[in-house]
Amino acid sequence: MTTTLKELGLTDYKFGFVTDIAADSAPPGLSEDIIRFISAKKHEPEWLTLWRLKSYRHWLTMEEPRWAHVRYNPIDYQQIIYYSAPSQRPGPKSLADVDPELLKTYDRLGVPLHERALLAGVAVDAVFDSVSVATTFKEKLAELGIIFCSFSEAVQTHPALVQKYLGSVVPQGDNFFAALNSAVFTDGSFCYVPKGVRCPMELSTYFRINAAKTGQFERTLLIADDGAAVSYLEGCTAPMRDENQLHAAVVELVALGDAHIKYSTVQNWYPGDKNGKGGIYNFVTKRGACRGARSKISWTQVETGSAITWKYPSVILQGDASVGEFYSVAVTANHQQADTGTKMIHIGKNTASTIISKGIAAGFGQNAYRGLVKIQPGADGARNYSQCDSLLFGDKSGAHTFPYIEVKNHTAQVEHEATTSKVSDDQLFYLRQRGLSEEDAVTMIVSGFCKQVFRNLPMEFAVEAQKLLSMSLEGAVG
Amino acid sequence: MTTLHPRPSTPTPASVTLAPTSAPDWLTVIRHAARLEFAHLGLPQARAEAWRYTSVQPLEALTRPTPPYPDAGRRSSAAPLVAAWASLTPCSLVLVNGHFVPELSRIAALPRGAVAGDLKTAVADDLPSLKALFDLQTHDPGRGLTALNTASFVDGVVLLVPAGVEVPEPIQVILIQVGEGTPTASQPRLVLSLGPESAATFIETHLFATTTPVAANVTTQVQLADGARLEHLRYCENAPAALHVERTEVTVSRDASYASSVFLAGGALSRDELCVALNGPGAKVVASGLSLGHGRDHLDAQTVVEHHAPHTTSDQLYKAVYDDHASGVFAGKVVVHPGAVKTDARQSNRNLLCADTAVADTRPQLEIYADDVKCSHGATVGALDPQALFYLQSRALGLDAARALLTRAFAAEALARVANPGVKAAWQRELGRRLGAAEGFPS
Repeated sequence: MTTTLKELGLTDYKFGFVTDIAADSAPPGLSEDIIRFISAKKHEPEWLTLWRLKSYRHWLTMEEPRWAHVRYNPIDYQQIIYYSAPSQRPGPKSLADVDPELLKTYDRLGVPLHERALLAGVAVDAVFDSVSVATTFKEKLAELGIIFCSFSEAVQTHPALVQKYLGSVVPQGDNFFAALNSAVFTDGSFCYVPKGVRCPMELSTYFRINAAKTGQFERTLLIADDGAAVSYLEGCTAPMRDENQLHAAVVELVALGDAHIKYSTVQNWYPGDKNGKGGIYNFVTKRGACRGARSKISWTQVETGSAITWKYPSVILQGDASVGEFYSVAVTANHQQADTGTKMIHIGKNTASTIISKGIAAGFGQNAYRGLVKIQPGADGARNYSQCDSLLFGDKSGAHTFPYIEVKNHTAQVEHEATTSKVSDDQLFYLRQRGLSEEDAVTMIVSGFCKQVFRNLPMEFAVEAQKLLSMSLEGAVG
Repeated sequence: MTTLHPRPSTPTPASVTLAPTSAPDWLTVIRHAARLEFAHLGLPQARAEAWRYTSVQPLEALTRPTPPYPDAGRRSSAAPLVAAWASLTPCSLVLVNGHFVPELSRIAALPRGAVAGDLKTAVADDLPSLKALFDLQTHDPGRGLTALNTASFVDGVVLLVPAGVEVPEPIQVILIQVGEGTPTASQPRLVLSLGPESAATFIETHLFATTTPVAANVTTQVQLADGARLEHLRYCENAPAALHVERTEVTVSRDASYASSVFLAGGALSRDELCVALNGPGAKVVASGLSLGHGRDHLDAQTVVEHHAPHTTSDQLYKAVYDDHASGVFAGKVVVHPGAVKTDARQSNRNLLCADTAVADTRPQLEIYADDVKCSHGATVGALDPQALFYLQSRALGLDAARALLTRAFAAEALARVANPGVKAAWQRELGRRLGAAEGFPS
């Protein structure tokens, strides 16, 4: 190749502004007192306070996992601020009550929060640091019986539902970061779609880490009752800061009989600067349970940000003939590292799963796919197809594949394929001689490479993802 | 014309251990270091990633003392097994319980300068090229078992081929385990070194003349100089009570090529680890494997291929058939190190499950630190295609015959890569026999 592409992803982070709002924070550090403080701040019932404390005590006995193919300096969990809420009048009743600075922030992010929300037809639950700021379209959804609100609100208004499902997919002691999250989670989104209801619009959450030295520990719980269907969008950004910030979220999805959940993420946390300084540590536990027959959970993720990504959106296929899907594009440029993939646990009969993972590594980026496909003895007729492709730019980047395939049923059919290559000179030459600039040619090849994933994104996100990708590619060709 | 060790006339005492006095100083130092290393590393731990799907509990048996030189009764009980396999090649060296047995071995003429013989004699003669072979180091947690072997091997086989020499006939080593009154663990050591532009075929046949539990920890070291070519074939017979662990460490220099085939025909716990380092441009490895598990067998095939130099090639095909309660593992890692551009690495693992209770775990891995490479791997687990079965049934084959035919065709692909015609035919015969040969079809 004549031109180097190693500068892929060198464009500046466009969302790196800090919003100056007085924040109501806890002192840094973690102790039972802090957890009680968070719980008290959020006026939580006693069972939840105890649940948090139990998680914390379990977390104390756990060790930080070291098996992921990523490197980072030890995290000092006593330096993190576990609670940071933008201080404002209590309980915003409408958008007019919300701090205009905040709204301006979302404006710059392009979140369709205000009237644009109406135009875009998107109901947004925006999480700013740790507290959900405002939720749009709530009334409209309420007419259908759909509950869509911040997690803390759900704890107040629908405690029975929360208590029933919280921790039922990702138990408190599931892993180190999930246990930490269970102890200190501050807010997040809650959604319940009742029996037979198809949610008429895309639901969306926008996360943003604003305050310095804060960790964001949000908790999302999404339940689709029998025959319900919902499509959920999640986007993430964070301002530029020199130090690393921890983001340890937990997402739990529950799909009952014939329910469909589509969960899409565009993750664009601050990836750190060109020398790998700063950036978000994105250590997230995402898991869905297909509890009922013929239920379906589909994860789609576009991971372009974060200094380190460590997440494995998984599906537990309990119900017979349930379906799990995972579509992922992960881009690591500069010094970014990603160890991401999925777990498909086949328990029910005739369950099916599809895994499509596309990794792009540039600069010093390290991109690993790690996945588990497990077929339990009772999963007759289970079917899995996995495809993991990696595209490399520059000889300092790395692409790795660590699939685990465990089959305990002989009627199962499991296929895994992985390839790694760079953009071929032939492809580039062909496009160049058709009059495309090298940059356009690379963009075209990369979007072709990611197409299988992008076409599974809802419209709004597909546009954003394409934009993010081409932004990363700007200046890639020198 | 011929150089062979030991001289066939050498009388062999009833009980031989490698006396410290007969070993050169450098080996004493290496073995002492290995003893310390093993004391430090110990046996693989249950949580070790390389032992994720294989129980480490039985490995305890490998630390038992090495068995004494087999007595006349044990040597004669090994004889029929030798007779069945020795016909493959004019030159076969026999180790019983890790001890070289001259009267069972058949020695043939080798080209000038080539040495094939027992390790103990070679060590006593202090062959100059041996030291370099023992100095080969790899940095891998799996080294614990290698260190154990280095510290405690009693005998083994050495094959040295000088520059430019092609050994026309394959060299076979037949390793037989015969039960002992007390539990023991044999630690055979195989050492192969091929000089520049030389070529050879090396066959390992592991057999068991016992139903009592036996354990073996085999370490094989292979060094291929520039342009050398080696075909390395390993067959491990089914032994319901045997623990068999073998680790083969190979270094491949510029333009040299290494072809490996392993056939695990069963065993309570049979594990074949192959670690290949492609160190020079143009180095190539082609590896294939076939595992056939029945009863409660557990078969484990592990490969690590490290591409250290540009323009290196690796191609792996591992297939497995598991029936009854058998379980099996394939773990294949391909690492492309920085600078190893134009690497072409392919890996394929296919598993066939024939019973409800059979289990297959597979873990192919790619670690790539260079951009201009072509790497791929694929893995499948499944049952026979019902449509293919239906097709054969519609052509008037019984269900069992149709199954046997398809299973055999599936497994035979892995054996097709064996270049040596004699071994290929013998292995195919074994395959047919084990799969209950599709009756009425030529084997």
